[in-house]
Amino acid sequence: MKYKLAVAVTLFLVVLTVPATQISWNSESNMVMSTVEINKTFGRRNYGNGDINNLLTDQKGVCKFTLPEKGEIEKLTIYGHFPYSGPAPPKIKGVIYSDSAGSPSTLLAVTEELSVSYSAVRLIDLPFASRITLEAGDYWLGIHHEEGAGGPPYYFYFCRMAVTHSLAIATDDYTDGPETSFGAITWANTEMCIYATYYITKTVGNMVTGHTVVNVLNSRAIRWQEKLCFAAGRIWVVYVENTRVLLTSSADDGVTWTTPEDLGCNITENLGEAIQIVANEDGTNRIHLLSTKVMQYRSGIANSDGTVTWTAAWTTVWLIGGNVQDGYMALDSEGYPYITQSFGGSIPTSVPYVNKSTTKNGVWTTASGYPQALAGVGYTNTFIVALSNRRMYAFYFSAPGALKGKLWSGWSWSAEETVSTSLIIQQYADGLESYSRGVVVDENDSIHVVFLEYGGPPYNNRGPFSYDVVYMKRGYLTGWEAERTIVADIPFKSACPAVALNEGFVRIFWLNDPINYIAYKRIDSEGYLGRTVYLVDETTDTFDNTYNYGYDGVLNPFAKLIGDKFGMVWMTKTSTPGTYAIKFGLQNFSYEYDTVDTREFEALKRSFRKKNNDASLDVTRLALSLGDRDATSGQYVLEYSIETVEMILIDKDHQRQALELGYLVQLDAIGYTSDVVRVYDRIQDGVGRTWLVKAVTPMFLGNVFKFYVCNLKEIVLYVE
Amino acid sequence: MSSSAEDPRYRTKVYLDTYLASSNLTDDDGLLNVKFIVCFDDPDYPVSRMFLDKFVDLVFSVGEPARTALLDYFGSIYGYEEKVPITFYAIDKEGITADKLKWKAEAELRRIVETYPVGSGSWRALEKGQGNDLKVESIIIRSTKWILRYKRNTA
Repeated sequence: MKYKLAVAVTLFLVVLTVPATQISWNSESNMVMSTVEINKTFGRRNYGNGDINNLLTDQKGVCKFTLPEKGEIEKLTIYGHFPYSGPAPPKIKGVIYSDSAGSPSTLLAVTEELSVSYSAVRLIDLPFASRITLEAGDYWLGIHHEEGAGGPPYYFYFCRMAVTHSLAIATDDYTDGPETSFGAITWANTEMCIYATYYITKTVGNMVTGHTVVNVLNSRAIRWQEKLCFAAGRIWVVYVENTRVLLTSSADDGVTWTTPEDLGCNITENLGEAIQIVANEDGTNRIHLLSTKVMQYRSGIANSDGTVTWTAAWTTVWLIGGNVQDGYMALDSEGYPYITQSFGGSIPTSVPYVNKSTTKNGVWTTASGYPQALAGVGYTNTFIVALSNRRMYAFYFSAPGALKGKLWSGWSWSAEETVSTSLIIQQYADGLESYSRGVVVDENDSIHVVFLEYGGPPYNNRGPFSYDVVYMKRGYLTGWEAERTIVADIPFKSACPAVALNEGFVRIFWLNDPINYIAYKRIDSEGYLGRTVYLVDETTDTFDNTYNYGYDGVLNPFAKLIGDKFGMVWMTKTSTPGTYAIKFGLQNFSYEYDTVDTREFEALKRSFRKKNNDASLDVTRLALSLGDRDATSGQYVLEYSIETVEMILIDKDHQRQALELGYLVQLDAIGYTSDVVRVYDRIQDGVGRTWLVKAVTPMFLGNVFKFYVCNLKEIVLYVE
Repeated sequence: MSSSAEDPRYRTKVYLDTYLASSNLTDDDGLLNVKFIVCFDDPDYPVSRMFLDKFVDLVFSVGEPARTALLDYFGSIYGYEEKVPITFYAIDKEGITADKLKWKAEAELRRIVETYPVGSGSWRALEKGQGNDLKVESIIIRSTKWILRYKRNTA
């Protein structure tokens, strides 16, 4: 049994004895806070559509950027190259100048010198000898340049064109270093692709420490479709290794895992998108597996000992020829499986299809009239989600491309809907594929989608690229809302956004901004976007951001609600080169204590009941929650949910009993309970009295929660 | 005219809702707009529940006004002077220092009263502001109470 934290605060009275680490006013109010160092950047990371430019000998050029917070600057990074070989390459130093009324003013820092030998286009780091601390504000970042001893050519940098008065250029003898004062400015209408890497000390919530599920040789073993589910009290993870499908499970919140079982499915590729697992949410513990390329299906009943009682052998449910893309499976609200798949004579001419089964007993029976085409040619990627009342929503697109979709109302497919105007990125060019999307449906049948936006190719298709995490919502009756950019300018294509829901929040996860972290933001029920929360720190093991049939697959985009916690799987490198770890992490976003001991409360209950003729301790809790806001007053409407809780309730007339327990009845009554009670809840006892909870004090011994003490005020004029 | 429109609190709430600019009410680093609401005083729940349950960052709370009848030369009432208390509340959160946000709220209140002194046919002015911080054990709810004064006719 878990006990929830009732934060006992009113404007007038508070009695808190919770250890300080368990209460914070963080956006996640239960989190234990700690301090970490996080690297961030400011400047222009996104090259965009620009051009190549260069400085002349003894020139320096700087552009203005805003540092949003105090930070320790480690290095500048400029995107460019020296395209010619020769004996005397040019030299450059990075410089930072202060800002004065919109112009560069005073020299603040100079990086170490870099002699740029012949190089292809690339990001070039210009580190400072030691970190320099800058306050938030505007700064001018740039380079000081000297041509090679043999004369031109120069070092070339990339820039964004047509940015009025963006680049400030001044003549400055290179040999004696940059002048303290910037000097006479010549303006140019371009902006360098240059940025600074800085560090901040950040207070963060209790970051998830992932437990290793298994070490593998395949860095993309969990890519794309769902690889995680919860059934029979266990967490199940499926993955691909050596062209085999393997299944493992854990009964202890992911700390230890069973020896992986080869499921005997003959897949032909060694990538995670070859397999998907989903579980019924109806208590039957039925799990379903889809081998998404060869379209083989298998289902069985998951057992609490980690075994699966399979209903049938692998069965080919859909004979497909030609070029087959990665399929996707979902169960409708009654447990009937649907599959989407795209295929055709060639990849560019692929057609998205949907298929469904009329049985849900673990044996696939193709429904009459299926498979059906969802659209014409030109869509290589598909996925599908379930709404209530057997409704479904199918997505399709070609990467890079806009998302399209169709709603299955339970009896017919709707006309095509244009979901996004932005294009989803392409991860794997040969297949026009993208894996950077996640989707989830809430209790109101609103669909929440995230994807990584394709910003278009840089000049001459030379990077660096940067990407935005985009969120979209479809209200069941209101349709698709406008796109919202959740995170902008992530420098890695492997940002891999995921989306999940709990307690009324949409949480949007991504990785690699900052690099080697998984972070998230949440959107509340009123649409407000919260701050970034840094959730997983993988700066030790690090993510693999290299190409492996696509720059993606490090984080599986389906975070799963397991009980009242989130589970997710991701991959890191290990200390052994060429090997990778599949990791699982469980995050608690609710008000829950880790350590609970109710033995003292149980003793209190026995003692109290013994003195009171075994009286029932059941009382009715009217749990207050805040609903929508009243249009006139702007106040939140009170909503109460009713539940029965156990409480030792002692009114002032029987204070002696309370004193025996060591407490004073401060108001009209005192209540002891180990169940959740919060301030301003109402308590109705067995003799018709109604009490207002004025304060709640959780009692601890060390960090072990024992019970709550509630101060109660009688509502004399209580009206139902 | 509806009864709510006659309520000075409602008039003031509409005034604030109309002119408060979210872009001026930001977190410490100015990157995110805070979540703020305008509501009447004395809800049937603790202010803290708005901070905790609804994740509100800043509350503008409009109180019950004091009214003084304005008499003409003949002793007839030709209007009323109303003084509406406006209290704002904020608490420290990650990225939000309540004291800073309180001053941003005050600056924003002053801005709209100076920029839009005429609202709903009334000439508005801020009369008095006073710190109103509430210390709840170790937690401080930062608060300032202002009085907004205006005159209105008898209509």
